[in-house]
Amino acid sequence: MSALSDLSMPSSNLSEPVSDVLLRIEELSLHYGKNQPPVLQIGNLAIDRGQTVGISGPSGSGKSSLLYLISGLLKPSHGKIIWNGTDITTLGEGETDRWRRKSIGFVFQDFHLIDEVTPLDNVLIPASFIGWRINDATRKRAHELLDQVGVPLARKSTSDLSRGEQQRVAIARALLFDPPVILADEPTASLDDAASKTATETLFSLAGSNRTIITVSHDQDVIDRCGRVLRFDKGALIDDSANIKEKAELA
Amino acid sequence: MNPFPIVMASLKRHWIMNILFVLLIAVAVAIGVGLTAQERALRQGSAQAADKFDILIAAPGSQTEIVMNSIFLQHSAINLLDGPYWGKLFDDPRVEIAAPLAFGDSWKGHSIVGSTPQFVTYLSGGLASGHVFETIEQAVVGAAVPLAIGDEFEPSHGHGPEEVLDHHHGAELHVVGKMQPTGTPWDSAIIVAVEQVWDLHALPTGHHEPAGDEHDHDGSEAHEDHEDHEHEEANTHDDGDHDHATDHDEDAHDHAHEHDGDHHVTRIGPPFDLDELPGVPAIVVRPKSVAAAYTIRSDYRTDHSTAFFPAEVLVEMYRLLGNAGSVMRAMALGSQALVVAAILAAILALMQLYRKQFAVLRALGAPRSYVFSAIWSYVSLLVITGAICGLGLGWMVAQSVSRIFTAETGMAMQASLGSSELMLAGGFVIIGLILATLPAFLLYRRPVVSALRGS
Repeated sequence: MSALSDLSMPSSNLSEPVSDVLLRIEELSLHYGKNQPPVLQIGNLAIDRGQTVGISGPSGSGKSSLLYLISGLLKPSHGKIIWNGTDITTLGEGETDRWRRKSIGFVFQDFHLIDEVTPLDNVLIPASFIGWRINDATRKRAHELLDQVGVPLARKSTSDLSRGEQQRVAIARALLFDPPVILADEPTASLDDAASKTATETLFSLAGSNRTIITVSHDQDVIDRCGRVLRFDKGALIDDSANIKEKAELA
Repeated sequence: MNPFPIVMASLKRHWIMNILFVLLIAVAVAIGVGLTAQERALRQGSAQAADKFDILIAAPGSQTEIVMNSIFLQHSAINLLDGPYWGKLFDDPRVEIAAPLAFGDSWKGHSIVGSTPQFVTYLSGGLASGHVFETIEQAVVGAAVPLAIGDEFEPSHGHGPEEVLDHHHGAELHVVGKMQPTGTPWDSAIIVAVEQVWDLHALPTGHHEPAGDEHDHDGSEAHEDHEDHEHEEANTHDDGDHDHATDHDEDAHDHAHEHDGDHHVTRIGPPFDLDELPGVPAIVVRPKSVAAAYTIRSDYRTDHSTAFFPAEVLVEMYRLLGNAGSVMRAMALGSQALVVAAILAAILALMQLYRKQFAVLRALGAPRSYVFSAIWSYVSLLVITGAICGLGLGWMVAQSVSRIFTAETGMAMQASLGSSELMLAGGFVIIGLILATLPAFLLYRRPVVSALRGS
């Protein structure tokens, strides 16, 4: 099976809009024990296609848990997570894996690249999940993505890249299957200011009508770039607002 | 799916540890393989060594000692079978070949064995060069003895560490023939007429030899040759021809006669005169038939003699060897189990370092089976590589040990990789592949989110 032929989804395809609402969360709660208070509790929440959403809040407020829940890595205790009409909490593990591979691109704080392979091979790693051989189209796309994020193809060793370049390779890796959603978990937290600015530029340059970016961040520059900001505290959504700058622009 | 990018990365990342894993596995497999191959080589070599020794007849005593003395030429003091008990074998119609074996002397660590010309021909299956001894001053050497036809040497008393270098008998012997390689300890032996050994040790020589009479016209060829030699040696001994009649050292000849003083040994080989036969450590008998073998063995199991098939003793030795081998194999298996356990423990620890990497792969869309197959393939590659290296290492060690053993004993031992070694390594691999599922399964089941949250 070729790497890109796996992109058709049996249960949900976020690239084919059912409505403007891409993600709908209904009566969601997450508990880590029967008698424990909820780690996260959200009544109803909808995110539209193409939005850039920043999630902020103090440590332990449930930001990362929300990211893991909406990516299908965590199952909620209660509630529904409906992506483009499909409740992913009802999918089996294999279906969730396939759905995530096609629909979600993950960017992590510590990049999690494999130092022992080249930047190009790092970008191609997700292709190895679905096929023995990597076809020319996938390889060409990996080349284009590295070019797009500004990492020279001549760089043979991943460990020789700067941290900013490593994060941009991680962003290219997240984009290999052209997912409609990018989930980023503190994407600039381990970068210096200059690298952070470049990585933020790269990340938000991907946004558009067909791509939604949801990022957890403490970095105000990142939050400022988001069109919508969700603020959490003690597992509860305490504020859901358009960005102040965006509000100002709208005004 | 193709987990090999991750497998290769894992191999590169901890390459020193991975090399150590492979070496540990290789040594564990090599111990087992080497033991098995060596044991088989020893069995084959000893069986080959005993091939020409159908029945051994000796004075009552340890059969193992008699076998070690007669077949493997590992000499020790054993009782002598008196002449009258073995002399009649030469007239026994059931016997095809009977040959006395007399030990006691050596040359530079090579045993000198006294026997008959017929035995030399029988043992060697025809000489590689030269001819069998025809006088008591002549010798035939085994293929591994560093003496050539025409060489002369002086026997010393004793063997190996007991060899008394400065205690020469004074006899100078001449090499007249070289045996073909037999792949037995006899390749390192020097065979002389049994009468030579008796004569050197001042024993009766098996023949009535008239004192001082060098012209006993009994019609035997050996005697005639010797007689001719007596007449010719003064003029011809230095002409380079290694025929016994011309390759004779008169000084040594005279010296040898210091022992018997008043008579000259002119006849060698059967027929012997029964009343002139001294005792010998063992007689090799080749019977004419299987039935004859059993009746001879039965007839010579008396109060004065013992008779047995060396194969029986070897089977008993193999049983003991097998028992020792079983213990050693069990120890080898134990060490293999320890190695596997140590490697598994190390890999489980290593997997803790990898768990976040695999959690990230899961977040990127890798199915659990990808994680499982990546870890399983990684451990399996180590096990398979180690087992293959172990096979080679075990074979090399067994070869080296065989070479040393062959050099020391003359017994041809050819260690080779057979089905049992392949099965042993294969069994190790199968167990390794099964055990490799353990770390794979543990990481396969590891919750992704807790690994992602861990630093």
